[in-house]
Amino acid sequence: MHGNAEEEFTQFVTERTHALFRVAYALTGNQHAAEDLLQNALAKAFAKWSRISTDAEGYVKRIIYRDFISLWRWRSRRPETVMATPPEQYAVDASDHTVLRLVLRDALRQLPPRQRAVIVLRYLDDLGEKEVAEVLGCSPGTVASQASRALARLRGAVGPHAFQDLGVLR
Amino acid sequence: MSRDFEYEIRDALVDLADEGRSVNLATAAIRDGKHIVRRRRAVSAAATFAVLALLVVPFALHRPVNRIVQPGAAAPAPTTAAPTTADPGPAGTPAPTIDPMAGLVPLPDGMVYGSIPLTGGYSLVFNRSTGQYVKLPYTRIVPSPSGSTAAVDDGRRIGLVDLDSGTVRWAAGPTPTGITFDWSPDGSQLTYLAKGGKTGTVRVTVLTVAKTVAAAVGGDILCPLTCASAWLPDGQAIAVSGMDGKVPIRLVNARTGSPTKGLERVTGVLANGHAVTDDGTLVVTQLGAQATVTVAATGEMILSLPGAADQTYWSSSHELLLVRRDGVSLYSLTGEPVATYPLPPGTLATGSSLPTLMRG
Repeated sequence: MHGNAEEEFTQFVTERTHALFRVAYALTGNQHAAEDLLQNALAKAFAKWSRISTDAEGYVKRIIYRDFISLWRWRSRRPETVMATPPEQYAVDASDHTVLRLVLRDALRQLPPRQRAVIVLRYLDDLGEKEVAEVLGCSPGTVASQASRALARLRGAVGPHAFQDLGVLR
Repeated sequence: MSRDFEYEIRDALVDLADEGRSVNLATAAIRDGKHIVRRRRAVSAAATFAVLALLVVPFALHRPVNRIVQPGAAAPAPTTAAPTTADPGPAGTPAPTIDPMAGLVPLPDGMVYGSIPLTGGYSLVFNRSTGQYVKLPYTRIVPSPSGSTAAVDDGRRIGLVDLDSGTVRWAAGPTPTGITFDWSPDGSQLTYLAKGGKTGTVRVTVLTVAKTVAAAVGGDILCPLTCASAWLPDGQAIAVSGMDGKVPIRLVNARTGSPTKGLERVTGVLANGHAVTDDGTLVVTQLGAQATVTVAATGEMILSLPGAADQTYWSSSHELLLVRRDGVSLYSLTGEPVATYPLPPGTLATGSSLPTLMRG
């Protein structure tokens, strides 16, 4: 790798780390895991820098999302014991937005990897279904079904009455 | 789906994304990227060699037997298998093999590396029962101070790994909400923080290793931002410190969860129980980008060392060991740097994914 490439790469990382780290953290919800996820993606980007430098951010993001899904899915296949404590149920008043956001934030952390990736791409990166499908390497239909399940889970976590008082839940 | 609900999801995601502390990973990524390139070249060279071997060796062994043999000529010497190690040539170097013992610089005062995070989501973990390091697929893993068990955290739960077999038992109990866990000094339990009953609160939780079950001890503790828990060297108390570094450290009885006194004059993040001297007189905490030494009884700060340190330990002679990205630094109580020990080769050294230490 030439010195110029290293300089270019360092500049790219310096400029874009904050944005990329936000994505990694939104996915993992954990400082250590987010750093590891991002560092792995950046290392892969550096190894292919001459080929991907024109769309480095897109490449790194794709790696982040795909590594997140495959790594977390792999982890979930290992033998484990079932948690004895069921997830807490909340009765959230939608007018208390701070509480609602905290509850939603917790619920986001509990989503399965693929659903969480879809939600982050859709609502943090503001991508449409087709673009989300391209990033994740799956069909738009899969994205739609994963998004639907994820939103149902989030709605369930917030509670059935959350938005009824405001008449906005449909 | 209502538009309002989508807005709330968006806001919650933004909150979550902003919760982390981004660190510049350029140097570490370049180092790891170079490893990937070298490994790829070595694998490519090995694969080429293997393909050639597959093509040539059978041909050499199974040549038609009706070849012309000159009368009186010596019989061909038996062929021997080609060496299987590939020489990648000057274009590349062999893939790095991780031998932590070979590159390990001994630490002072009988300390050893407990776990060493590597690239690719793996860590080397010290198995006390064998005296060897084992490689396991976890980035956050801390071995018990006794026995051959290690604790792992996948962001949602705590697991106990048997270092002899590599199997993991995920604990039943409240979901962890903090980013740290800490072993009790005798290794029979560990503590972490779970969500409290009210918003902005946490509960100290104790996981009993023998049962693989965790339960909250005591009531809610106010924690406006992310908090960390640490088990003190006396084994009796657990400390809860706030990541914002402004709220004094709170102590609870490890068995009953009732509040106790001892560190109420100390602020900052307590990285682990080893950050308190065995006699409980001195505490090193992380305050912003500094490691600060405070006298527990008076709250007097007697030393500030620049530079963030993920893990802090006291030696038995009241010298301070700080684990940073550039190595393990030993400081005297006057703040004089005594020595710096390089991290083991192959270590993944990100902002907070650094090796842990333990007494050997």
